Amino acid sequence: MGHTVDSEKRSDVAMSIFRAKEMGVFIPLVVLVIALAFLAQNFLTQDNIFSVLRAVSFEGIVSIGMLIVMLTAGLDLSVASNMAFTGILASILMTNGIPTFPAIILSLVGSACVGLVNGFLINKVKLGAIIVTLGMLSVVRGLSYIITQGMPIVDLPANFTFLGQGLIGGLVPVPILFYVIISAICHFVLKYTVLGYHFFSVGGNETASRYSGINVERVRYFSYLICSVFAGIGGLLLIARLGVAQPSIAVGYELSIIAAVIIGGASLQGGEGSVLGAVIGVLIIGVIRNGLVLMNIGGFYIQFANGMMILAAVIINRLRGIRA
Amino acid sequence: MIAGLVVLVFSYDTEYNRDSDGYMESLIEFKNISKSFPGVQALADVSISVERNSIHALVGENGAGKTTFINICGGIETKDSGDIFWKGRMVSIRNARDAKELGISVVHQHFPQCLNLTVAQNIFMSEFSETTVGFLNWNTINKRAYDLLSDFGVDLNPAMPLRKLTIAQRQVVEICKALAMDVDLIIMDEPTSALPLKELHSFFEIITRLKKSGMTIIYVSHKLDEIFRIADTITVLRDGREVATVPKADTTPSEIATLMVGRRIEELDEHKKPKRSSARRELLLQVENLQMEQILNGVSLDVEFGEIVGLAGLQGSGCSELLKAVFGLMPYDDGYIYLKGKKLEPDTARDGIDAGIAYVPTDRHVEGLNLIMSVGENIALAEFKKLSTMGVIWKKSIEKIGMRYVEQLDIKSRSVWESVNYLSGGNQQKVVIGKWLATEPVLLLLDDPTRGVDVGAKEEIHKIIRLIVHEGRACVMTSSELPELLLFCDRIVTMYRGSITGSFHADEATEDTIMHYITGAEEIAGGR
Repeated sequence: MGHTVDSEKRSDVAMSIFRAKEMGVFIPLVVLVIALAFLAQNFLTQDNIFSVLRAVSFEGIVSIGMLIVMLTAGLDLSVASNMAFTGILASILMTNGIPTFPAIILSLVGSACVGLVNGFLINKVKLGAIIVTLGMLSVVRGLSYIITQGMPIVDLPANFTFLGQGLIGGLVPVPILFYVIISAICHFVLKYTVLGYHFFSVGGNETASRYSGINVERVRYFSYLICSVFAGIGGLLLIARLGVAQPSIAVGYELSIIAAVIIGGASLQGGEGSVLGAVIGVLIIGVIRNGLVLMNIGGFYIQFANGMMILAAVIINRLRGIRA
Repeated sequence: MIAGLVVLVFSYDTEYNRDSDGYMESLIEFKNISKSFPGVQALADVSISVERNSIHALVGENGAGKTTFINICGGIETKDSGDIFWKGRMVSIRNARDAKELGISVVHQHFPQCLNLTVAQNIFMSEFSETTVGFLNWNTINKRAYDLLSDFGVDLNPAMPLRKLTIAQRQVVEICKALAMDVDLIIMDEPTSALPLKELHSFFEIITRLKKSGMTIIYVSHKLDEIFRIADTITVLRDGREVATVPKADTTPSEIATLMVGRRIEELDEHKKPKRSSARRELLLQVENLQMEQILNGVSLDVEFGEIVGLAGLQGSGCSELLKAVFGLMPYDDGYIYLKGKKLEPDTARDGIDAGIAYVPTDRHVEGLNLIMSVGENIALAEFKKLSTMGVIWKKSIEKIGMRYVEQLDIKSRSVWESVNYLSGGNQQKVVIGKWLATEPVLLLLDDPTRGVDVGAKEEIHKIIRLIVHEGRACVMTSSELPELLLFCDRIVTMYRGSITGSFHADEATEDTIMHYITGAEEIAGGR
């Protein structure tokens, strides 16, 4: 008896994996990887795989935050500016004698403030998310330029740059570890916590959520807060990787981040999407970028390919019945 | 057995008529239409012939295939097999444009409208869509819209944005939109479900006038009294099959009801109404002098344990707002609310829920359900906190609570993980009710809980509510159908323009008296 139940369960699991929404993007990723394995030498080498994974970690972490905002039917265009802002904040603190760990915490508080302002303007002043975060995109980027006067900050402490450049066990780059941990935590939060359900619920039907006793405003605050803090973490890691804090880093990243989340099956109208999908979306973009470089196809094509990928993903999602 | 025989006789009859009369009289004829969705055979071999210049009613429970049929007529969905003949000529309706070009217009139950545009712009929207380049003379257009609306007996400013209109007014606009197109066939899907009682009469007048002017109408409704008032021919659908097509003169409402459900519904009998448990005569809810600017002026209401109170009132009477205020969704200016003797000052829905109040809203699509989520998740929606330990919630606990209410309410879905989007209207409404039963409330506030729900599901919902109230709770409800309140409630409280105008025990109330009190006729007569 126990055996049959077990085997039934196993086939259930197999079926649910096959039926999962993420399969729609996972298959293209696999096809892409297989194609590049043939087309581009060095693609499937250990070095290259880790370098691709590291390269996507920064945007990947931010895309998880973006996913959460988009689940609530919001959007955060200020993430890329926030990445630079947080990195610069930390760099200034560190080069002025504050130890690495407190500097990181303080700078993340700074990034959280950006999220709170976003949340406040959207919740209380009832402005549209796109307008608010478009404004904050410029405000925060401008702040970074003002603080640094446009000059790069160098001589960052080694224990900080380790976060971006270091390897664990001489093999796995540290940012990948951060990405994996954050993704795992958020996967759990979205699937198995009240807060996670509330994100889906608010995005799916705000009125029904409010009538069901859900504090919609608080849920929205949380989403922008989480997104901003993740943008901060992504920015810190990126600057640690580069070793230099420039106010101009990550310009335009918000678009590829949003693209990755959408490729991963999220809907701009909220209520749909998953961490797994967002991760696959980020990987697809990263793999295309890497493949084009390896095949010596110029940078001009990368943007074109990204665009095609977004359109293809949205079309596929539409065909599969997800609202894009 | 007998029902089966009746079906046989009826279907034989229609077949016979069709052959002898030929096609000349039918405007549109459907032959062996079939349509299936994954897991559901929505329509199976349905053949219906609609005579020119007649009102052809289509009845059936939710899930009988009415909506699918309408969608096929309107070109929203395409049939799997079968033929459609329009004026004797075989046609294919592949999209909404095809339907429109033939001269078919559909007024949907949940009609999509542009709330930002004006009344006139909405009415003539489809005309604009044809002139890509061109100038619009707003004076003429507004004038035409005004004429159409006054034909309907409605005094609306055509330049007013739709956003500012009530649901009933928007429906009038939607019907005018169909009239504005030069069509031969109008299909109406539950057209009166949002209409307040006092507009019903003028609505039927319009229907009659439409017919006189040569229009053909397919009229889809649950409401048998309406159908027997206006229809010429009645087709009954059940489980995607055409069960019978009969001229109205040859049948009775109870016969049609029997055909719809496939079993004989007991005649609604005053004496069969279960008496309310009189064990506890304690006050559960006290509302004192509740004030809300322009909406409620000093409403006081007492509700006892075990009581089902019906709030009767037309749109704008403040019934819904009163329920929302007690639950915490609408702020009030003055007055007091006591629940079990404890003072309540609800600011948000959470306050209402925590105090033990449940509120089932009117519009399940807008206010009640998360259509992306599953049945189980919707049922758990208001109770996520209680189902979780330290913020973590396992699928199992959602499944458990979902299963419990799926079973208790007999919700027809394949599993608790099925998306509510795929459920029929009646089952969706049961999910909303399940969500609120899951909060284990002492006081149920139901804002028109059976709107757009078929006879069978309605009865079930009534039974469940009655059962719950008997367990020592209470219920205050509104309804868009007065007979529902009269049949179901222990006491009926009438409201007119934000004030309570009367309170009646079910035995002493009649539709006529209630109507007097909710239209303000009594106040005028009383000289107040």
